[in-house]
Parts: sequence; C-alpha cells; structure tokens
Amino acid sequence: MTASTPPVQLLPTDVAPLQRGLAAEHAAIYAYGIVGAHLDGAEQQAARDELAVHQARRDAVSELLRAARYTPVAALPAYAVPTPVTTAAGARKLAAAVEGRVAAVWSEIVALTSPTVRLVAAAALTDAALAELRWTGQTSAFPGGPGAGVATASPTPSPSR
Amino acid sequence: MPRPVLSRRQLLASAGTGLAALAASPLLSGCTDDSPRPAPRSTSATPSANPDPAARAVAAADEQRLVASYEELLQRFPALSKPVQAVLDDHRAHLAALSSEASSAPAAATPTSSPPPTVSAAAASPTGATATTGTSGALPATPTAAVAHLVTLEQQAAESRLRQVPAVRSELARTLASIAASEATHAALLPAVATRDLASASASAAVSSAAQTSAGQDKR
Repeated sequence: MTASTPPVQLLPTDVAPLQRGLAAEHAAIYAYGIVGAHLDGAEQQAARDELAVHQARRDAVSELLRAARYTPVAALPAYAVPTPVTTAAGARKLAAAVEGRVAAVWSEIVALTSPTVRLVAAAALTDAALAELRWTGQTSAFPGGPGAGVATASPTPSPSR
Repeated sequence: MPRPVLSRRQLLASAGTGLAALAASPLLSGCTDDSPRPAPRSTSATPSANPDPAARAVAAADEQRLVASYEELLQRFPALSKPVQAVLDDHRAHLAALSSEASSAPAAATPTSSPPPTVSAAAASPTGATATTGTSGALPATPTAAVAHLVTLEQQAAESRLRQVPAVRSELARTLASIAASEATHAALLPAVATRDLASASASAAVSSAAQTSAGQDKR
C-alpha cells in the first residue's frame, strides 16, 4: 500500500456527506465514554472494543478528507445524551441508540456519494449494525435503512448472557 | 459474545489503512479500470444503461437461495426455530424490498408477509445469477455443520451485495449496503444462538430421557 495504489479521488460532492459521517463518529466516541463508565467486566471490554471501531473509522475518514485537502470536522466538547445514564441498562440502551444513529447516518451517505466512497460508508454501516446486534441481541432486515425500525427478532436482551 | 467474524475485520482493516488499501482490495477490483467515473447522484448518472434491474435480479436470486436454505434448516432442525425464524424473516424482507423497488414501489418492510411475488420475480429475472445450489439437499447433515454452511452463505451474500454497491444507482446502493449489513449480523449471530439452542435442546432431551429412565426405575 505504498506507491502502487492509486490515489483516492474524492468528488466535491462526497465531502459534505463524509463530514456528516465523521461528525456522527465523533458523537459516538463521546457516548462510549459514558457507556463504558457504567459497565464492567466483559461488557466494559465490549464497549472498549466498539469505541476502538469508531476511533478507527474517525481516523480513516479524517485521513481521507485530509488527503483530498479538506479539513475534517472537529469533535464538539460535549454532546447531548437523550436520557442521563445512571445504570448499566441505561448504558446498553445508549450504546444501542448510538449505533442505530450511526448506522442511519452512514446508510444515507451510501446514497449520496460516489462509488468508492459508498464502500467506505457501507463498511461503516456494517460495523454499526454488528455493534447494534451486540447491544440489543437482535438483527434487523435493514440496518440504518428506511425499514431499520422494524425489528424482526424477538426481544432477547444482552446476547452474551 | 465473541467478536463477529465476517467482513468487519476486513472492512475495518481497509478503512484503517485508508482508501488506498480499499481500492486495492478485491471489493473494488471490478471497477477500478473499466467502470465509468462515479456519478455522485442518481440524477446525474447516464440515462442510457440502468444497471439496477440486473443487480436486483442477482441479489434476489441470492436471497431466494438463502430463504430456501433456511426453510430446509428449519424443517430438519426444529430446535433452531427461534433464531432461524428471525433470520428467515429478514431475508424475506430483503426479497420483498428487492422486488418492490424493481416495480418502483416503496419498500414495504413487513417481513413475514408474503414472499410469493418475490419468488416469481427472482425466477423470472433474465440475468444468469450464480444459481448453484438447489432448494434441497444442499445442507450438511449435522445441525452444527448446517449452521456453519449458512454462515458461509451469509458472508458470501454480504460480500456480493457490497460488490454491487458501487455500480448501481444511489437508492439501490443504499438498500444493498443495508442488506449486506443485515447479513453480516446474521453471520455473527447464528453460531452463538445455534450453539446455545442446540445445547439446551440436547440438555432437555437428556433430562427427559433421564426422567423417563428414573420413572421406569420407580415403576419397577
């Protein structure tokens, strides 16, 4: 992956969607700070793993933008959380909501970007769906999509227990 | 729950090393040289050749095959019914979306409703999709091996959908990306739930046979 690979070509129309995806990753990273603080043991490790996934995505997308001479959007100092998290259950719920939101954002980005960038968005969508599965124990027919709210599996909380 | 197997690592590795690596990956190998310059929005795509119907037909054929495989799995291993039914419903919803978008109707994501029209749509599709397996007899004999086989099918389907994402129009690209994500979650979920359900099934079978044995001993 040195000189032999062709340079990535972002179209100007790719930039705004990618910035939106990056902003969603920043928010997710912030949220996992809260999530991790309210979990312990294997679940805290899971939160750490998912946090690392979002950090890697943030770095990759930032690098993409910088390589095309755009300035990646910065993280905000803080983000609003729907409901204050005080319990492990609340932490799981927040994590699931965050992943659902991230999935929805990247899913929209797939429809807004050029083919190469679509794959970046699709990969992010898959990762968010996998993380959502981890926190909810359920799969969905259309993660992040128009039918994403339709859960098809029966509710089984916390797949690892 | 163990870290999901599938494309996550590959995709993450690609993303982690930048798009250069992704462009060099097999995912994009089909469209680096010969495909036209990306159109950022469907409206600016060339009106001449619409790639969507053929792509939909290929995807629908894969979904059809998955539905058939899960139906066979359910029939042969009823102990797996709970997780498998949910996954099967997802695939039926995929099929419905692929065929309803073909007729440019909004995708009604009501999973368990009616698969029949999509079946005919897939069957009537002109494209020679890679229809390799039949609808029966394709699954390995043991439940564990059968589930492993389906995990592989899910992974392959997810990768195939992702390969289609760059070449179709924007809304279908989104649908295919979402289906790929769904299939990735199936591949991650199935081994765990299958192990659990099979274990509890054999455990309860052991309990009931033990109960029968002791009941028989009591009678004696």
